Amino acid sequence: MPQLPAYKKYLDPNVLAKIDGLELRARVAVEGYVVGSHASPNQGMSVEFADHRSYVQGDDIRHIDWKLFARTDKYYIKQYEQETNLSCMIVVDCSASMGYKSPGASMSKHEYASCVAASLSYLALQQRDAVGLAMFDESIREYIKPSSHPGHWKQLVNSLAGGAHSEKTSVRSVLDDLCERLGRRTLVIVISDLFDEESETLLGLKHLRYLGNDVIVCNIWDPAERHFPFQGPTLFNGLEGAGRVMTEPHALRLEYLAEVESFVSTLRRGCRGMHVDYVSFDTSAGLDVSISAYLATRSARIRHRSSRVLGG
Amino acid sequence: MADVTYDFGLSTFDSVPATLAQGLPFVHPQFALAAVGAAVIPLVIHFLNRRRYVTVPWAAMRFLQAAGKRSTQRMRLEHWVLMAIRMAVIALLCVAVGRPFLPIGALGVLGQSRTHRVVVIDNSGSMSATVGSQGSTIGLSGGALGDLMGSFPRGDAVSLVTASEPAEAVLGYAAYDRRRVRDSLSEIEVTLRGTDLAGALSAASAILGESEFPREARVVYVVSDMPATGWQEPAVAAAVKIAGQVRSGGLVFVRVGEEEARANVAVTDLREAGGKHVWLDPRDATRGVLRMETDVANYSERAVDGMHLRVSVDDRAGGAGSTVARRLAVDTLGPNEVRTVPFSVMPRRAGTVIVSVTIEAPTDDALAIDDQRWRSVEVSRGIAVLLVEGRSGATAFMGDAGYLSAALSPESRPGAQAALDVRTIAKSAFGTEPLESFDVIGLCNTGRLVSDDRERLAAFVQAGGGLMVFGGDRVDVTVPTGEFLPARIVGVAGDSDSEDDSVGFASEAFTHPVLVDFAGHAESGLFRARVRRRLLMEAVDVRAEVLLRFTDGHPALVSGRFGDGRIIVFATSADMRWTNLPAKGDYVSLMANVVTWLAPVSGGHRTLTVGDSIREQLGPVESGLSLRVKHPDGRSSEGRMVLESGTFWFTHGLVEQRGVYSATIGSREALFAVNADARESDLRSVDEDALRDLLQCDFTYAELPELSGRSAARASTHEVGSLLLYAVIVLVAVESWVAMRFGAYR
Repeated sequence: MPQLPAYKKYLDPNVLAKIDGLELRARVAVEGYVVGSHASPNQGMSVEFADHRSYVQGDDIRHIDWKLFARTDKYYIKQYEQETNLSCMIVVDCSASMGYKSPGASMSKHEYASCVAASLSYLALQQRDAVGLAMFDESIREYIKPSSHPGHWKQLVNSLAGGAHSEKTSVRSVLDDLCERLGRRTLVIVISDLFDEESETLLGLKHLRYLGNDVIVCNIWDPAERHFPFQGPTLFNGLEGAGRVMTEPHALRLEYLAEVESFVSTLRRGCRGMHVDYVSFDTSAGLDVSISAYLATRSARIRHRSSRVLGG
Repeated sequence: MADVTYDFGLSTFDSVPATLAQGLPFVHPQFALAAVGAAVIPLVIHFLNRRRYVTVPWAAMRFLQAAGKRSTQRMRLEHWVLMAIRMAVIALLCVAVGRPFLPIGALGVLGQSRTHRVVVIDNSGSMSATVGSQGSTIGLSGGALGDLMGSFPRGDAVSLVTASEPAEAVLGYAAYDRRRVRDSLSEIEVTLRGTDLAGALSAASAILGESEFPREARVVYVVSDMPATGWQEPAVAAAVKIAGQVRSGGLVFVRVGEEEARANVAVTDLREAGGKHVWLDPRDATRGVLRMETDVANYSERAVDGMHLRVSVDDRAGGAGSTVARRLAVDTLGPNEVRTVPFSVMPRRAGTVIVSVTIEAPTDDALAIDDQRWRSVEVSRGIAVLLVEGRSGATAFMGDAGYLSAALSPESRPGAQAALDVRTIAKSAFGTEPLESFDVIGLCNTGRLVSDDRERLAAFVQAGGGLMVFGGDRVDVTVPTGEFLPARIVGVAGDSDSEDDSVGFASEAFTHPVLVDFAGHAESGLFRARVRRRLLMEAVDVRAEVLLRFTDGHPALVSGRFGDGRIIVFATSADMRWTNLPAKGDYVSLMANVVTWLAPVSGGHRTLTVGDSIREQLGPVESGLSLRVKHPDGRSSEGRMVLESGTFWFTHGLVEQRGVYSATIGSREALFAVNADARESDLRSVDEDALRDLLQCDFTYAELPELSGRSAARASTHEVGSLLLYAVIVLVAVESWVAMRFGAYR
C-alpha cells in the first residue's frame, strides 16, 4: 500500500464529509477583508439589512431612510450587516505531555490534536477564510500567519506533522505572546492538554478575550488520563521532567480522578465566565464525532444569538 | 518383680522432642512455631511485589502527585491494616493446626478449658498375674495407660497416684510438663505389695481438693484389675467423695484383665502353730520340735486336685540352702476353700531358721508370686522365767511358787542344756529385779503391786514379755484389776479347805498351743484335778480369750495381749492351797506350754511383707560394726543405724523382693523372710453392676478394649483449635471487606 502524503491522513473522508455540511460560524463577527458568509460585528453598508437607528449629527445623510422619514417625519439611519471573511488562528500544543499515548489508544494526544487542527483549517480554507497556525510548548515554536490561499493548507499540515517536542507546557506565556502577534480580532482555537496551572491558563485566555478575540479551547485527553485504569505496582515516569512516582494506582484512583475533575471544572467554569468555548476531546472518541458535535452546538448558539439581536 | 516397670508405649504421648516446643502451650508446637514464619509470608509477598512493577510514561503527573500527597497517610494506614489482617489469617491458621490451649477461663464461655486428669495406677502384686494368652495384666495395663495418656490433649494437667500399699501420689500436683509426667511414669514399678485402693482414692481426692480446676474440668481414671478385696468401706467412701469432686461421669474405672475370675492357688500364710510360737522340748532345747501351720487357698470356682506342698527348712547360717525338705499332700482343695495344713519340722540348732512352703502342683495358676512363702523363726536356746511369790516358804514347796518352780525346772539329762532358767523371788524383791533379763514373769498370789512395780510390769509386757498371774488368798478382789490384764476378777468361789464345792476343768477340742496336747485326752490328769477355791473372772475385751473353763462354766484360763506381750490369768493358785492340779503330772506339761507360749519370739519381727522395712535391734557392742544387706537376687546394699529412745537399730529401706534377705551385722547374721502381700492372691474382680451397687454414685466403667483407638478419651477432649479456625474464616471475610473498602480490588 503506497504511503500517503503526510497531510492526507488528516483528510479522512468520513471526517470531512460531516464537517462539509456545516458552517463554521464565529459567535461574533470578525473583521475580514474578504466578504463571505460570516457575519461581521461592524454594521455598515451591505446588502443585508440589519436595523434602524436615530439619526445623530455627523451621520452620512446618504444612509437616511427617506421612506421612513416620509411616514414618520423622523430621521432614521438604515444599518446593514456586513459579511466578511474569518481570520482563524489554530494554536496547537506540541509539548512532551502531548506525546503520551496509552496502550489502548489509537493515537497520541498530539496526533489527535493535529487531526483536529487539520480538519478545522481545511474547513476554514474551503470557506475562503484565513487560517494560521501556532505550535508551542514553553514558547511558540512555529508561527504561520493566517492566509486564505488554498495552497496554504498544505503548509499547515506539514507543520502539524512535526510531532511533539520534549518541553514543558506554558500556556499563559504562549497566549500572551500570541496576543502580541495577532493584528486584528481573530478566532483563536487552542488545542492542548493544558497541563499547566489552571489560573495561569485562564489568565492567558483572558488576555486573548480582552483583545476581542473569540477563543475556543479544545482540551485533549487520553482515555487513560481520564479513567486511570492501572492495576498493580506501577512506576509512573513523568514526561515533562516531573519526576517519577511509584505507587499502587488502585489505591489512589479516586483521589486522582477527583484531581482531574477539579482541574476540568476549574477550566470549564473559568472559560464560561469569559465566554470562551471549552470542549473536551477524548482521543479514543472518533474525531468526526467530536468536531461535528462541537460545530453543531456552536452553530446553534450563534443562530440563537443572531435571532435574538435581529428580533430586537 | 520389683524391677519390672510398666511399658507404657507412649509413642504419641512422648513424641514431642525436648526443645523450645516443649514449653509451648500447643499439642503440635512445631506448627505453632511455623506460624511465626508463616505470618511473615504476606510481608514477603508485599516486598516481592514491590520489586515487580511496571513502568509507564505518564503525562498527567501533576494530578498523580497531588493525589499521592493527599492519600499517602491513608494508603499507608490501609496498607498496614490489610497486611496485619492477612498476617493474622495465616498465623491463626498455623496456630489452629498446632492445637493450642489456653489457661483456664481465658476464653470464658467461648473457650473449652483444659482438664485436670488424675490417673490412679494399680501397681500392686495382682497386676503381675497372667491373662490367658494375652500376657500379663501389667502389659495390658501399660498398653491401656499408653493409649489413655496419649489421648490427653497436650494442655491438660496430669497427676499420678500409685495404688500399691502404701498409696503414693508420685505426681501430687497438676503437672503440665509431659516430660515430667513421662519420667514419673517410667519410675513406677510393679510391686508385690497389696492394693491400697482406699489410700489411692484418698490421695486422688486430696489432689482434687487442691486443684485449681473447676469441677467440670476434672477427671479421675483408676486403671486397675479392680480386685474385690480392695473395695472395703474406706475405699467406697473415697470413691463416692471423688465422684462429687469431678464432672458427671468423670470418675472412670478402667478395668484391665479378664472378666472371669482367674484360677489361682496360693500359700496365703505360714506361721508357728497357734500363733508365732516356737514349741520346744522343755527338757532339751537341742531337740526342739517346730510346730507350724500354713494356709493354702483356692481362689477359683472349681476344685483343685492332687495338690502338693514342699516344706523346706534352712537352718544354715546365711540361708544358703535347704537342709530339711518334705512333701505334703493336700488332696482336693474345694472351690474358694482356704485350708490350714499343720506340719512340724525339727531344726537342728537354735537361732534363726527359714521355713518355706511351696506349691509344687498345680503350677499353672494365674499368679506365681504367691506360690511360695517364707518365715523366719527364731529357735530360742532357753527361756528365763522370774517367779514372784506373795508368800515365801521355808522350803521349796512352802512358797506360793514352789510347785510351779519345780514344774518348770525338771531334772535335765546329763549333758543336756536346760531349756528353762527359773528364778524365784519374794514380792518385796520385785522392785529391784531387772525385768529385762527375763522372758516370762509369773505372779503367784502376790496381791496388788505398788504403783512403780505395776508400771514396770506393764512396760515389760508391752515390750513383748510374757506374764502369768495366779490367784490366791492374797488377791484382793475388791481392788480393780490392772488395766492391762485380760480378765477382771469379780469374786471368789469355793472353800480352800473343803472339797464340797470343788470343780474340775472342762475338756474341749482344744486348738490353742497351751492346751492342744490335752485335746482328746479327757482322762488325763488335768481333767481329774479338782479346784476347791477359785477366782470368778470375766474377759474384759474382745482380745481376751478363754482358753480353759471350769466344769461350772466359769473361766479358768484367760489369755490376752498387751502391746507386744502376752498374758495368761489363772483362776486358781499355782500351788496346792486351792487345787490339787500341781500334784498331777500334766501340771508340768501345762506350765511348760504356758511359759513357752508366753515367751517372746525374738525372730517374729523378721518375717516381713513387701513394702515393710528391715529393722534389727543392735547390741551395745554392735553399734560400730559394718551393716550390709544381701537381697534375694544376690545384690548387696548398705544398711544404716538409727538411734531411737536410747536404743540402736539397724534399718534398711523398704523391701520389694520376696525371698530371704540376709542382714550382716559384724559377724552376726539375721535372716529376714519377705513375702508378697497375701491379699493380692484373690484375683476376683468387681464387675460394673457390683460396683454400681457398692458405690451408688455416678461413674464410668470402661473395659480395656473400649480404650483402644482413644475414642473414649477423645470424645471428652476439648480444644480451642476449632475456635481459631472460625476466627480465621471471620478474618478472611473481614479482609475481603476491608480490601474492597480500601479499594484494593477497585
